[in-house]
Amino acid sequence: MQRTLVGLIASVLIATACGTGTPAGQASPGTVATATPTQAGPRLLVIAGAGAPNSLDAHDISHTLTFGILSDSIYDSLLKFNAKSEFEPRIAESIETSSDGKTWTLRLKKGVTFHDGTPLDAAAVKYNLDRLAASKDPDLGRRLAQGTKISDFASTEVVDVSTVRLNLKAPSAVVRSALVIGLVSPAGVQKYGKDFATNPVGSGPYRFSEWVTGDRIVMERNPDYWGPKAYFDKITYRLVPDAATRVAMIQTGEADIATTLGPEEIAQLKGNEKLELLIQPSTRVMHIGINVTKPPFDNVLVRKALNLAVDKEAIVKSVLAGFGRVADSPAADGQVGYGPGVKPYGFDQAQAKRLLAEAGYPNGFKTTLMVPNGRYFRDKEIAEAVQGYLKQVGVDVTLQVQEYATHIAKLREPAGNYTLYLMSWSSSSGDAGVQFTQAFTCASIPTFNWNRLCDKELDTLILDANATVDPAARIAKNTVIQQRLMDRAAWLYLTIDNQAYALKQGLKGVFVIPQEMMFVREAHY
Amino acid sequence: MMKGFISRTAVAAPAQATRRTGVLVRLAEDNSAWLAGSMVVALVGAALAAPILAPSDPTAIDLANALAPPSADSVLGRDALGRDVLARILHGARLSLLLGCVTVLLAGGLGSALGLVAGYYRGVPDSVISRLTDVQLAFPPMLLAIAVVATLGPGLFSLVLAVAVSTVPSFTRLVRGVVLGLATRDFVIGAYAVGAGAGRIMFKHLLPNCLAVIVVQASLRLSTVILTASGLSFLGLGVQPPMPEWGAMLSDSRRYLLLAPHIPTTVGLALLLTVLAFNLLGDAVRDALDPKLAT
Amino acid sequence: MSAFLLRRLSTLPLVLLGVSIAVFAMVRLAPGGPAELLLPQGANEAELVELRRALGLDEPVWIQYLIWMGDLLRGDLGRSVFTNRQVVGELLPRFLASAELALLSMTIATLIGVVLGVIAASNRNSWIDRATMLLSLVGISTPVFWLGYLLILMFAVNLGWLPASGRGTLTQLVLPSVTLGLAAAANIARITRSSMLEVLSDDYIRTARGKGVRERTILRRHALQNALIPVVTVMGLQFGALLGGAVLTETVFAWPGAGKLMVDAILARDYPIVQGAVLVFAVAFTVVNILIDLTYAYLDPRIRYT
Repeated sequence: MQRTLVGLIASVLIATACGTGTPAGQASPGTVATATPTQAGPRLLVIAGAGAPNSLDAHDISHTLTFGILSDSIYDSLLKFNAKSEFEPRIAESIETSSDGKTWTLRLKKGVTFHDGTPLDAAAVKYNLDRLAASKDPDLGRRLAQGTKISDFASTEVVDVSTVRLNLKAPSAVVRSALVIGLVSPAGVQKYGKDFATNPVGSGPYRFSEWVTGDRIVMERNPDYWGPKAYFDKITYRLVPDAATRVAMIQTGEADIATTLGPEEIAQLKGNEKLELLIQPSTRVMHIGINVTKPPFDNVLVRKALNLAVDKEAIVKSVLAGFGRVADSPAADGQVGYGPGVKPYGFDQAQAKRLLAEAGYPNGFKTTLMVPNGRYFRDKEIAEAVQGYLKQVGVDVTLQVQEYATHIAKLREPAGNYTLYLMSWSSSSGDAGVQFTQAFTCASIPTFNWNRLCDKELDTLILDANATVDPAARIAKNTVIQQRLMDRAAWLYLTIDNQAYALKQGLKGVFVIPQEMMFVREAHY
Repeated sequence: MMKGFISRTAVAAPAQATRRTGVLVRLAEDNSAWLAGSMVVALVGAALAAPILAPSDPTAIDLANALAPPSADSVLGRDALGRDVLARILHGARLSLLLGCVTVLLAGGLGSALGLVAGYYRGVPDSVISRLTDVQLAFPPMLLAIAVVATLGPGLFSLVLAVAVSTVPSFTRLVRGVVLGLATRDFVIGAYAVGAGAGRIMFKHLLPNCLAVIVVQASLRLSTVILTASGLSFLGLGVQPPMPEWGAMLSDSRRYLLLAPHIPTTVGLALLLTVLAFNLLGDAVRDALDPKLAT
Repeated sequence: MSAFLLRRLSTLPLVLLGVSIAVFAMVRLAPGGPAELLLPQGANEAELVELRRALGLDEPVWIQYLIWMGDLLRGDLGRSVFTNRQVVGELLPRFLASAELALLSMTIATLIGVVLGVIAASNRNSWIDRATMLLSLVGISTPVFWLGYLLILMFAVNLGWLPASGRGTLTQLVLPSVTLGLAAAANIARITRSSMLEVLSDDYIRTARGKGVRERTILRRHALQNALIPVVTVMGLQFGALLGGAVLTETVFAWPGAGKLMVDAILARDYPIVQGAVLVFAVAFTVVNILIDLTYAYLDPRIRYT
């Protein structure tokens, strides 16, 4: 039946297509790079991406996907992520930390220049770190998006032309996440000022070429790069908002990489020998946040009951089609400092009912769940599934679907008049400790702590763990924190999605880390 | 009053014969009217009887059977959350019909009234109405609907309001255009000459001549309303889950077209039949209202 | 005629003023604002307050409006809240892209729609009539994003004749404009048909037939001109809709048009972009309206002197 419908429409369309044509005189507004990696001709890479960056200023970019694809190609950074999400040196060839952990001495690579010819030396690095640390950027009138990662810095000193000293306020395990931010050319910022966002000057293997708003961003090879030369002459990042269209593009060969695919798209591409599928867990924890200040949710038994009432395995298997796993903690495996070994809540509706009765609600109660429609992968479906499960234990949930902007606005209102809300959360630092700080400490109410948990003891534990430089000790402390957060049940922990990409067969050198960043600077055929 | 309306003398002619008595007769004689009428009755009946006809609760999830193809157990298969498609289509019929009818009645009524007044009185009322319509039309279509939904929150009420608000100007303009064209028609001048008041002229003489266009536009708009709802769902601003609204179902099912073609096919067919029925009915009514078109 | 034109043009400033007030209010009525969405991760409440102040959102609404109008009259549409780029620089290329698509789509739609409508009307109740009307019904009831997707599947993925998305080459223009054109053609065909039928049974047509004038001349000279009035209305409305409302097609085909820009901007509460874009759209659409009115006057001389 489907085929006849398609056939009918098809024959009509073919008939029409033959009858019409483009009128003469339509101007072609410029060429676009097509992805045909032939021996002769230029080497081109086309990426079909889901979202556009807000800015190409390395310090102000807040879009995770293009942080990897674009920012990492145009800019160099002091440290970089490797495929295992570990930090490796790039411009900072070596780092020495003082015994008290508050002073870091970085030795920089020599002879590196920005795309505009100016040197990337200690003075430039200091400029970068100072710019990030500024509470208000003079051109923008507000703080730079990446600026909060640098909050532990006290000051930066130039020791000599290739040595920089960082002075921290206190020892910190999270400061490395600030060192993967791209380094901008001071001369470039002076020159372009407010327009630096659209005229980025870095030192990376690719140079910025053009940005056609809403359409594509093109980078071209930097022939003067100090490191391994770029393989491609041009990389084009095309903004393709619709997932089905991205799939079509990778099937027709119009794109070499298709980002941000879901299980339906993967199912359609499976078995296609011309493609390679890259599927990995992400670090995004989908959860239902519980406003612990609003009864009956101020009772931890109620919150635990909610966690027990939902069959998360079933949700992963059916709603996500196996495309993810159960969340066992507010942090995700893959985030730096993640502490393993925390037990997830099981699926036990009998126990849930018992806990509810113990809390004084044997017949359940009614409440509302705010859902940001269409923002996260299958968020609507997950909310509906949870609604179904909670109904089975007597909790009657009304879904309040709203736009993301409204969602965030309501969450950030100081009064906080909501009870349950759906959210998918991942700290852009990729660090579990930062995740805890942003989502659960008193200081983060109401900007990022929307469950409004305020536990002074917990705050101390979190701050202490973030200051613990020794990795093993830190992980142990984080495990304790995670277990405690599980017990406090300020979230109804749900799932961790996978992230999926499709690449043309034979494309190498591209890697993705759980923080949902994709790196292409070393891509080649 | 009638100042600007008649701009030059015309030969007086006998007033148009009333058509009321003939309408129903002509309707009864039209075969396509019977076809369309019965389709509409069937649709409305199915929609009203949905709770009885539906094999199961349209909101009951059954994750183990997600995207199941049609079988003995569920005649039209199941959707991504295992809900029965037939049940959702039936309950969706209620929603879509409600949505469509209320919106078209609201928008059509208000819009036509405005268009009549503007076209009849000309002068200042026309200017004001036309300018307001211009301001509203000068808004990009989807944007107004999205703004309403963003402000009021997604839901049936805001959807109706959003689409109705967006639909009013088209009725206003269309009716105004027709009324302007009728300005110098003989029967109108005749009525004025006989001393008929503004209201009488508008409703007894002008409106019936506009009805044909209004009816066709209304029947067109009915489907547009459902499609607009579908578009809003596509953008993530549709009705609240778990409401089985056809537009939302169509929009969601696009992502698993190749995995579960039974969903868009069945929902699409339901939509097609509904649109067909109302359009056929609209055509038949229009033919019946205008005796000149009777063959 | 020129007096008529001048009078219509004189309404433009009033309409624009109305639009500017309406969009300014409308976008601020929606809950939440750009500050909440722009806030960088890890910021605290004091920074949120400061951000609102920096964006000028702590002033009363009418003062914000006056500031915006003042800048506007000096030719400054402001900067996007999110990208910090000049609004004008964001709008112009997007509107150009939309216009390109709209023009081509309307051409296709008019060609197919009017021709089909006339054929259907002049062969009333024949199989041609029924077939074309069935076709246009299918066209009306297919959501445009479905049609576009099917076309992509057929012509890009299966046949490989055309690219799936994007803008820049002529081939990339084909699928999106055919999608929109077909959808619009269905509507135009129906209106043309019903309007033609109306006119064809008018007395003066019967008179012409009685006098022995050839059917084709009747169609072209007498009937079509008058029948086109409602058609032109619909065409004008549709062109406007395509210019700013083709967001579904723009999303499916990754066409960098103004429709998607406006929808994204309002969802992101990027006030300057929404305000600027709606104003530009309003100007374009009002101009199109004026052209329609001129066409009315051309088609029906009875309206001309009023």
